[in-house]
Amino acid sequence: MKKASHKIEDGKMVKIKLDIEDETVKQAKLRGDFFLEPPEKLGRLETAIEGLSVDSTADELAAKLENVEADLIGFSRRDIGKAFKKAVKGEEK
Amino acid sequence: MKWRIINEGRYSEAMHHAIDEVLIKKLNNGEMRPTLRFWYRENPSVPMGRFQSFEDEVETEYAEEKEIDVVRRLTGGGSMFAEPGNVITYSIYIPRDQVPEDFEESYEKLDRFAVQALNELGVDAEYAPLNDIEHESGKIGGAAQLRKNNAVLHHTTMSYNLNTTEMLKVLRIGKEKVSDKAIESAEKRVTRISDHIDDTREKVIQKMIDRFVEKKEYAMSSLSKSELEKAEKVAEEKFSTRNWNRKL
Repeated sequence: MKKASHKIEDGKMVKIKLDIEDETVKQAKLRGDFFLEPPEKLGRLETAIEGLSVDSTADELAAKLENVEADLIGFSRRDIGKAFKKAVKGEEK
Repeated sequence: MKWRIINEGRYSEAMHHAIDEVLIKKLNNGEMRPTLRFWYRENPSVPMGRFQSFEDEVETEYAEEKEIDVVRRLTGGGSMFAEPGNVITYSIYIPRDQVPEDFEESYEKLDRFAVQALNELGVDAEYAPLNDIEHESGKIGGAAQLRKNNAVLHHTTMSYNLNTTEMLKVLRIGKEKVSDKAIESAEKRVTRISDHIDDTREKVIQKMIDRFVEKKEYAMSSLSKSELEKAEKVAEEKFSTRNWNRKL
């Protein structure tokens, strides 16, 4: 399990937890004090991260998340990408 | 548009969230007038954000020992600590077409009456994006919203006279890096209405209602028997269960 928190300046906290196998994301969890409309889309965002290689860039992950139609409020798909990169680099165990 | 104002009813934290769910559903279905409701609590509680991890936010053992009810909200945002009589919470249930689509604009607009009321009483509060009410000495409160097809739930909690020492014991604010400095700064980030004025909480709430109903048609109201029965069921089956409260 790799995890990381990305605090947006003057803004929300995005936390990510990743289960990684063979350099690939098996399971992802997104948590934080952000807003999401509709809220039921949290699971869709999480599954969109699954199957990605740990070498994916923040922009590649953000692009994948574009497929999930939802309003991210107080954070962006790119912020999730930044949290992802922090987690795979293992800055926080 | 005639507003319904509810300024009564003491309930558990779970029950308040259940009432929110029942009323926003009713409004969404066109079965209710737009409504402003003030909350009165029975116990100390932690309403936490919908997308937050239970174990990241709450000192579970402490909360259990002190019988602090931790309830996951319908809305996103952060965790807060509430004590009966020490915070002011209100919910607005409003048709979606009355609310700006832009989130920042909508928070500013829906909390404006409360900010104006505080200003008139002598508290230099102002809206701070995205969802906060601030004073130069710290944060006074925060809001959160849920959007349905035809309706928006907007609820806001402000500190009237909160016990911030207790808050820091139950919330895991910066607990990952425990240091006196971290706690001191968290304490500084919060300011309370009672730090700035002597008016009673009751008077502050009344001023807010006065500002809200200005130029509006309205009637004071109570929750109906059927609303309360529905909410009791939702409180029991959802907001007081570990299944919902600890699901993330």
